Amino acid sequence: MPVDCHIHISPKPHPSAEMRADALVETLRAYQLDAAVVLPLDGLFSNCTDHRADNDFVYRFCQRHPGKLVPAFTVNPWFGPKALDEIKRCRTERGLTLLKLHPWLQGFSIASPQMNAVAALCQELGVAILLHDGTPPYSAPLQLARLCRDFPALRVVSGHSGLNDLWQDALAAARRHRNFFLCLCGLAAYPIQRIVAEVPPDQICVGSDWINGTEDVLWYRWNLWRRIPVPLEKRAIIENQTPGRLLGQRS
Amino acid sequence: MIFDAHCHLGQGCRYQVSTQTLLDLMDANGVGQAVVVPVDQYIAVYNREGNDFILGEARKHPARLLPMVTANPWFGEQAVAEARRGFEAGAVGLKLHPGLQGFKITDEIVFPLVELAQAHNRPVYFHTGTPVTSMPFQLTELAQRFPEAKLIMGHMGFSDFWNDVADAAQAASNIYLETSGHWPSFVTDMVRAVGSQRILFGSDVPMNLMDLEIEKITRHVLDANDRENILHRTAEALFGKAAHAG
Repeated sequence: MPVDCHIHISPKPHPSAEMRADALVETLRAYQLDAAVVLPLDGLFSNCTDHRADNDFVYRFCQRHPGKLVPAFTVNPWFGPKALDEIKRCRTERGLTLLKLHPWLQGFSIASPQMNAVAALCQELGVAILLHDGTPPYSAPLQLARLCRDFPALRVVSGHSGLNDLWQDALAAARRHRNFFLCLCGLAAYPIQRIVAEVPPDQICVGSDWINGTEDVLWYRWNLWRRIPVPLEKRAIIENQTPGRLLGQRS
Repeated sequence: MIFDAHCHLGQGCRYQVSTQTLLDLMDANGVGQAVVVPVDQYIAVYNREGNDFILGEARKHPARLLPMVTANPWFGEQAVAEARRGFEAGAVGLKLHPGLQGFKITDEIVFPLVELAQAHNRPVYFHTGTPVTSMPFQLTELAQRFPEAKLIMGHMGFSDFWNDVADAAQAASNIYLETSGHWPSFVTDMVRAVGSQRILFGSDVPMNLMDLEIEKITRHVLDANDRENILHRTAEALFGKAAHAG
């Protein structure tokens, strides 16, 4: 069954996290989706100083429906050792395998010593990194792909496949690096068709960018994906198998 | 009938759309009229060839296809002459693509083309959403410099400039918003921000799927008057007079 690899949740007092988690699973079911990878939201902004709290919220949110809601976590590389400690905690204590980073919202360059330290640790711990991309100057696909070159065992996920301005860069990077994954999220139909035709399906996944209940986005992005003709075998790999591979569940 | 304000037509380096393919799509989706613009290299440099093609196809299907010509501003007087030639041949507007044509919306090389379009009462469609060259507030700056010109913000700044679109459009009443590629609730947000009489439906075929782009309006814009405005009235008001002035 298909997995939405790109949704966000943030702490809010009402309705409760439990009710929102139940509603999300119902929404997924309504769209014939079996599971979703749940990314933080508040922790992706540069004014977040307590990533641990935000990560714990996302984790608890997903614990309501284990297997259906798969938690990711975030840190800000600018925090240096503190960020590395949080990565270790999320991996060893929580078992999480996906770190979400947002270079332009978090205000860091991928080409920085702080990012290199994060990437090295993630490679060592088997944690994949999903980064927002498509947005200059900090979030271009080839900047992400540099991580694949320098950390060849690291799984790097292009969160938006370069969006509509930089998808050719994302496509080129995916063809060059087997550890570079493309999340089809926010692209127009034409670049999706090109990517599906030219990139191995086990490097492609699909995401909606659903944020705190924005069902229209999920409707739009999944309908777009499903209306594009894709061979069934390839579609099955993209929807069902690649998510597990990028999460480190399959080799 | 639905009026699609932005479709590509022609055989490009990257993508191809034949006239029959487009007409079939329009028939399948209840689209009565579509504004057609050239494809990639014909937008970038081979303007005359691309314009001749869409003008010719529109002449074959005058009830269905409305040609919108393009002219790369870097060609200077030659670009102005080409746009004028297009208008005199029946083009309903001018399409400019800062990314493909290599200029910024605020660049003064654009001014003669905007002046020409204004003099002919033709709207100018700008691709927007690409950093540096084509951002919503750059269009506002141009719109304020030419308050009598009608400027269309293609794709409403998708993707990363969505935050700017409402402010940018509210600052200049001669800016119109075209819906292609954006998520559904953003369209309804813009209805609240600037009113549906300034929003027009475009599919941007073949970049997007015509059926999904229409359905996002019919399914998510709940007010019937707003839907009618977006799906045809705004475009008819913008292009209708030009379409028959040829």
